[in-house]
Amino acid sequence: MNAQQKMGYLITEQLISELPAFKSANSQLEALAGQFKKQLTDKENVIRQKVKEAEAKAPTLSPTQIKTIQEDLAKDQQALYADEKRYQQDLAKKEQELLDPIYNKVRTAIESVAKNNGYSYILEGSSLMFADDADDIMPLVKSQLGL
Amino acid sequence: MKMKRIIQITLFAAIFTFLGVQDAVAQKVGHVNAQSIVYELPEMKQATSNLEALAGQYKKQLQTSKEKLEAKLMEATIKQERGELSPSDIQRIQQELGGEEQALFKKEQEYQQQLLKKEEELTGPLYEKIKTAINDVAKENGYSYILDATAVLFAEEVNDITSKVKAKLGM
Repeated sequence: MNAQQKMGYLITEQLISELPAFKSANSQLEALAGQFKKQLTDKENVIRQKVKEAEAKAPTLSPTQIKTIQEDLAKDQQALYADEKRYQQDLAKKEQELLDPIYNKVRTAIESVAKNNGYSYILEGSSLMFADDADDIMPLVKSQLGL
Repeated sequence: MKMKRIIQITLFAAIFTFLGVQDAVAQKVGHVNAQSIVYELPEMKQATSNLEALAGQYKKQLQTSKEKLEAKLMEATIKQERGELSPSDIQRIQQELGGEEQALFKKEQEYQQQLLKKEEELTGPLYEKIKTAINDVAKENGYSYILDATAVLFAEEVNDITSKVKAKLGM
């Protein structure tokens, strides 16, 4: 009745960081972030240039003309903010799209290893103060994942 | 004499067996989904709605005071634009409104503190109750450890005491 419960652990973060799929997802995300950043910087530079030109021309312009330019620039700036927000959302979405399947795969692998090897519990290794190396299921999960 | 010795030996053997068994008895580990209990406990739902009602009441009071203050400011601005106010009038009104604004800010902070206090007052005993129920179920069922279900990567369902704790709480 009081059979010994088998306890194991895994440092999830360590496993994930070693997964080729995770590394590839990460570099895809970095590339996308870099691309977005460049687009934003380019647009920002265009606005800066416009401001510079407007400032130079200002003395020769009527108050109405100045007002029109100000409104134009405000619109440009708002468009830039909107782009920034959209890019952030796109990035978060892409991150979820790329990483969720990886996390799910890891979760399933942990469960299979636990069941196939009679573990009662698999604990998160990073929250343990001490753990016996023998109870680390990392090698088992890796081989389950074909690593 | 020999009989007594045999009894002694038997007794020793029994003790040893007992100790041996004790030694072999593993520490039993279980887990509980405390969050789901906190979330589903009827008294907790009641406490949450009480707190929300109180927060709504405070918010309304603050909003009313804020609107009054804004109306006063608007009135003063209009009078000033019409040139109906002397410099000393303006200074007096600025001081008055500044004082009211600070009082409002203080009131807001007071309400926040009162809300926190009320929350502790209402939910503190409930958390204590849940903790006691977990403790009791653990002891009654011979568990040495109860883990938080959200903190484990895998757990056999057979060691989940959540439903037992809920039953103990009359849920």
